[in-house]
Amino acid sequence: MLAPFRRYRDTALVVLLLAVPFFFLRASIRQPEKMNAIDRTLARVAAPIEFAASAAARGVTNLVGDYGYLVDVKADNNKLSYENAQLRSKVSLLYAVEAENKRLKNFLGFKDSLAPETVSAVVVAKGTTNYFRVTRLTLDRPAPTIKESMPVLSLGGVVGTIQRIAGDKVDVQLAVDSGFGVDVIVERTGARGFVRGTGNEEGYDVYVEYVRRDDDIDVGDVLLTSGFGCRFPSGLGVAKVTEVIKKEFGIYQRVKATPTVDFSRLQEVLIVLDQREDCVPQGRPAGE
Amino acid sequence: MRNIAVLAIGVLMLLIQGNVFRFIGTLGPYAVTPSMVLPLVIFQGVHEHSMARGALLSFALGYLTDILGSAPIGMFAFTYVAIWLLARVSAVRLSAQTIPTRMFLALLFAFLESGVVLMLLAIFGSDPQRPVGIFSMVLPHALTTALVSPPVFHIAQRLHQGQSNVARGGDGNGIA
Repeated sequence: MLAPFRRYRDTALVVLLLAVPFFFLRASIRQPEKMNAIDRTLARVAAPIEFAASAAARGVTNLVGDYGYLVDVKADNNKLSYENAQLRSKVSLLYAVEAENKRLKNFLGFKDSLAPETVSAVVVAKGTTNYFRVTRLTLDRPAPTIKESMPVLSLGGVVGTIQRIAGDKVDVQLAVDSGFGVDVIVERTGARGFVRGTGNEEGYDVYVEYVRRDDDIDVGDVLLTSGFGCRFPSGLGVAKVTEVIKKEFGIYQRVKATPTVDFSRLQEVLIVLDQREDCVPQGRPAGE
Repeated sequence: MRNIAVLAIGVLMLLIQGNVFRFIGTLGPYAVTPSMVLPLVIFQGVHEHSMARGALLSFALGYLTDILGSAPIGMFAFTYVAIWLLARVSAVRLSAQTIPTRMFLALLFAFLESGVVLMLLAIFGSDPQRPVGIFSMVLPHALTTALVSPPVFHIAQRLHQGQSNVARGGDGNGIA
């Protein structure tokens, strides 16, 4: 019984669903001057419906858009984290460059402060032990006048003397080697002594010999080159006193010190080329 | 429930379509976005028994397309109802079973959809050159729609099957 009615109803619905959008479309895209009364009425009726539907649609798209935005945020976060890591790496590198720049500036200033002619060199190899005794350098420029036993300096003070030369490669005997020695004075009191490497395989330290028992020397005193041997310019740091043992008998006291140069971080050095012709090596006072 | 599910899928397809459009739009001026909703409308025409439901769903999908796609109101609402009606009366039910036939159907109806849209623009539009400009996009649009149609058909079919099973007490013999 209901079948014919349903058929008519469905047909009417389909016709309606075709007609309504058709006329709404006509009203919405027709040129305003060509719109008639029906078009205007339809446009007026459609306006609030369109507004509500658009608002709902905007809600849906905003929801999805916000989700997409969050996804983008995550991707951006990953990207920024990566960039941050890269920038941190670059900053570390720049810090290192800045430190090197500062060190080289100081080194340059130190070089200029030395009257004698010098040649700079870079440490290229060290001994395999923790407390190496000899280090190898590469000269920054050819230096034909370079000879064995020439003094090697750094910002910290005395590094050692040249032991071997092969082209632009130079082996340096460090101040802590037992074969090394240099005449020094105590910066604070002017007391004299003679620094000699201990050759200790387990640390960087030196003995200070020939310090008279009545000389004023204490832990923490800085020892400078005296210049008396004519090898090293005077006034360069050599070592810092770490232990003083005053004996109750004998002429000298026993003094231990650590070099002012940190050999483990040695990078650039200067080799003093010109031996002062006018310098006359002075011996130690009689009985020393 | 099925109606809501179809509409939800329709909204999802529109959102995908919108994002695809945004992406493809960066590739060039003539890049064409497929219609992701059209296969749903065709499916309603081919498989939906209830005429009222099919017509209303097609109308709703078209109206959503108008709203979300910023088309003139009534453009796709009319077009999709017309497409749905054509799919229904052309009795292509048996030919919508395999992927190639589904793609062919999508291609055919995408041409029809474009034809209807161009016709409406030509009749009501203020710019007579606009349909001519859009005409070059008909073929790529139809081809891309045909290419993306199988998964949409598949989703629609799963939805249809699920609801048929529920309606029949879960005997598992849905219409395919």
